[in-house]
Amino acid sequence: MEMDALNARDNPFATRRVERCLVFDPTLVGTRWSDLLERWDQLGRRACVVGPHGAGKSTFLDAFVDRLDVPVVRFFFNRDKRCLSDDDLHKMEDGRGRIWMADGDTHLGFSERRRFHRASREAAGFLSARHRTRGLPVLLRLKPDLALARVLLHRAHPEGAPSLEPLVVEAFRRRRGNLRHLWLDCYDHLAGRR
Amino acid sequence: MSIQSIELEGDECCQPGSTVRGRVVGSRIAGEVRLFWNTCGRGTEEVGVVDRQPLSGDGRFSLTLAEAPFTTQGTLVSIEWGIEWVDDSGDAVDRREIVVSPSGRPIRLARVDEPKSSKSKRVWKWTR
Repeated sequence: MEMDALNARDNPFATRRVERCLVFDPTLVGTRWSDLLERWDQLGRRACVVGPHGAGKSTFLDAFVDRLDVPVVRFFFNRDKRCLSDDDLHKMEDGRGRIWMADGDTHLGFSERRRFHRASREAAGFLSARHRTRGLPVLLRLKPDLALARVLLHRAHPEGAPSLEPLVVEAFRRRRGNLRHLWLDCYDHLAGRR
Repeated sequence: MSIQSIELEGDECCQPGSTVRGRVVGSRIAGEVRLFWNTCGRGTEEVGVVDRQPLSGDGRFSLTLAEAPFTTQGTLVSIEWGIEWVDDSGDAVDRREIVVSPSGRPIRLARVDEPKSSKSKRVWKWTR
């Protein structure tokens, strides 16, 4: 192992460090928690948060859970999980009266998506993280820019941010604003792999 | 305010499958101790709780290690072992890191120069 390559546990861009350090901050996207909660109620507690890959949608859901006064049930779907599992069905049954947060429900096939959305009407609320609105009003729209990436870089690694800025500028453009991939690029750089 | 901490018998280097003994020290002995490993690095952190013991009385505990995984250090992933003291409400009171390895030292992983995880998505190119 190269002497100057960081171990995984010391790398400031290790996934767990990034998740703990870069929790969603609404002020960075021009809003406040109070405004988001007010809008959530105004929308009847059925809405979506939209944005491209790596824009922070899941990060927002993680933080929003802690702001709600009703228990939350989480659902996760992606290109590799496009069906309702037994666990999902169980959660749907037990989740009546709770707020459902669905990450990627638009990946579900047509009939399963319809089943899922119909069942969600028994929930106390429904918030979906998706790339497009698809019939739900928008609670929050996320589209990271380079200025945001710079701020987050300084929060994640204050002492190393100046030397990483050129990398972040180049990688942000190459990754088309995908923050998740951007932090992995930073990780790889400090691990001596780039 | 008294210090609440975990004290181990012996040093932090343990053999796989062996027993880790120690005690918790503090003004209020309650909750439980957990023996666990976790991954750390480029991917999602995974945690495995191997043993746990409720605390009472003198705060002494005896936890049994698994045969694997070993404490590992690499640039892509590290595996850490630890003992955590959590109180009755589930909040962490103290944590001590230990090394679990036949040699008494972390296993060092060689660097991966061409990892699959760094490859870009497949790009379709139009050809005439």
